Amino acid sequence: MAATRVHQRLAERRQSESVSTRKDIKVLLVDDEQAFVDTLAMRLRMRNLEVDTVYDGSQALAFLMDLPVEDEPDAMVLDLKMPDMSGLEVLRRVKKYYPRVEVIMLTGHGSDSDADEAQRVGVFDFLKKPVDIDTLMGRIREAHRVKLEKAAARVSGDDSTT
Amino acid sequence: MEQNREKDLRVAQTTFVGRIIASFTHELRNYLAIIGESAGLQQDMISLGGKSKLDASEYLKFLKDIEAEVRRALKLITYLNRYAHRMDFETSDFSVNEAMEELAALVSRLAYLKKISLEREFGPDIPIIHTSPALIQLVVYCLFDQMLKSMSRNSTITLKTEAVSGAVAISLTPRGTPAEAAEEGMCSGTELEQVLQSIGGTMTRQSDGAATVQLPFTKPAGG
Repeated sequence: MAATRVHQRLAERRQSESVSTRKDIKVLLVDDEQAFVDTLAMRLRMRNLEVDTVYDGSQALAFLMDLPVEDEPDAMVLDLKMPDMSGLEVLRRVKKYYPRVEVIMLTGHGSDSDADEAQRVGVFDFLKKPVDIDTLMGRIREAHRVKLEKAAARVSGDDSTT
Repeated sequence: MEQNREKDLRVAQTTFVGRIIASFTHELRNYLAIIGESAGLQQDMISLGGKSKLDASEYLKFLKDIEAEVRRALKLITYLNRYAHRMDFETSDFSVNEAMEELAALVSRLAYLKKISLEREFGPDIPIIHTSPALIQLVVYCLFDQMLKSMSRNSTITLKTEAVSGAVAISLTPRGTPAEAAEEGMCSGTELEQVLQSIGGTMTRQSDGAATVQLPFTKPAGG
């Protein structure tokens, strides 16, 4: 029984490793500054990420709705201050309905209370604009890695990483 | 009583300045982010190149984006700088339209975030007046803040200036659907009236929620 579990974990790990070397980490960019989103999307695509873009929180939730789990983005890069629905509200709903998606907040807003609240709700990271592309890439890769670890833990019944 | 009034006024002014600066720095970060990404993309094209090469017109587009963002940022910086200098002296000669244009530019993002549009209707030939521009801006901002909190999205607030028999009238008129649960504004009505009284102004409110501030024409200091 224990051996089976170990094998299962190994299989999961192998699967995670092979998946983590894929060149198609899926990212959803959510920001009302269209020029920013479009340019950042091009730069991330040049780094072999699969990128989708939306320009407000409602569009982000609509994008995720009815998406098969395997098509969900690995990471969402989310602005905080957007018209209509704030990034914090989007984060709350994503964590509630799509908990597998890791959320990186990328904002021009510098309030510590927002960062604390985002942390409490389960944000993966909280970055400030303008961000260095290598820093962002590093955090996206890390979010992807953590997502895979959580998935592996779920399969093996060990939820200690969640 | 007088001490309390001054304390309330100081709190309101500090809150106002804080909000303007927070909104300004947020916008500036957005502009810098766009500039940074556009410049970064050019670097990527050179260093990563490959299949993703852009043609000349696309390069030009990104360079123009940088230029446009620099212009947007400079405009906002100019407004913030002018706003800051309004507080150099207790009173000064100023154009009401300029002071209102500057205020509208600095607070428009707050309206945008609530999906409320801020429209301007500035009357022509409004004489230069001599009073406290910082206090006028504070009063108008307080009224605007109250309206933002009491209106639902897709509403409009019109900021209008006009010359009316010996005075300058600045009015704010909300149009649209009232919010289901209106939050309290930053300043109380009594506070605003007291501030206006101290500079010889008056305020009237209409049943539709509109508010008008009237400031008597006062000769410029040198005039």
